[in-house]
Amino acid sequence: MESSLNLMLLSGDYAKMHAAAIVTLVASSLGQSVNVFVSMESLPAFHKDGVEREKVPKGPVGQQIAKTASPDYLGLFEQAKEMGDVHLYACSLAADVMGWDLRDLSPLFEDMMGVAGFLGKASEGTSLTF
Amino acid sequence: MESDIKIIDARGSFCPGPLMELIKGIRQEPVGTVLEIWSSDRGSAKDIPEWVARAGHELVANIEENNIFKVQVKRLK
Repeated sequence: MESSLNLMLLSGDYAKMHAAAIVTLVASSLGQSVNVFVSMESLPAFHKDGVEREKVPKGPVGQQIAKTASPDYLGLFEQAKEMGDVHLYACSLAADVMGWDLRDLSPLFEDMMGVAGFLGKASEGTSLTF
Repeated sequence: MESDIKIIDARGSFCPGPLMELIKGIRQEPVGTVLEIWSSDRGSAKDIPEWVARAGHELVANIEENNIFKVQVKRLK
């Protein structure tokens, strides 16, 4: 069994959300468990409301990906969850300052917690930040 | 024997589309099936063999024809 992969999504960058989703999907297809913590400027990319998600900035590559890639990062994370041992957690700090709770966010999230909670969930293995 | 090969046409799909099509396809077929994935994404020729090795299947062929990459994979487990 492969060791787990732990991702922290922090940036307000559409292309990075897509990159993180692809890494999650491919790793889960190989039997790796993946824990994803979504915080700071990445959290709006996981809002239920498309108007909030649209506020996430796109560079030149991100613009092309948004136009051409199907499914988008939310769809890729969903596929990854169906395929393997994948867990997404929303950061309570970022949610609090935005006045959001779990119901305002994508159903991809299992739970909302702080960093200490996530570090408890994240098992040993590779950690990447997006 | 060509009729025994299951073709997955993922031309026009961007990375990692062809790989995902293969992963989906391989789960639907019995062990021993050979699948041939067609891709116009040049990353597939390197990406798919790497995935196949790590997932424990067999790479049967990896060829390019008129800018289309055709990768044959045998499901081993």
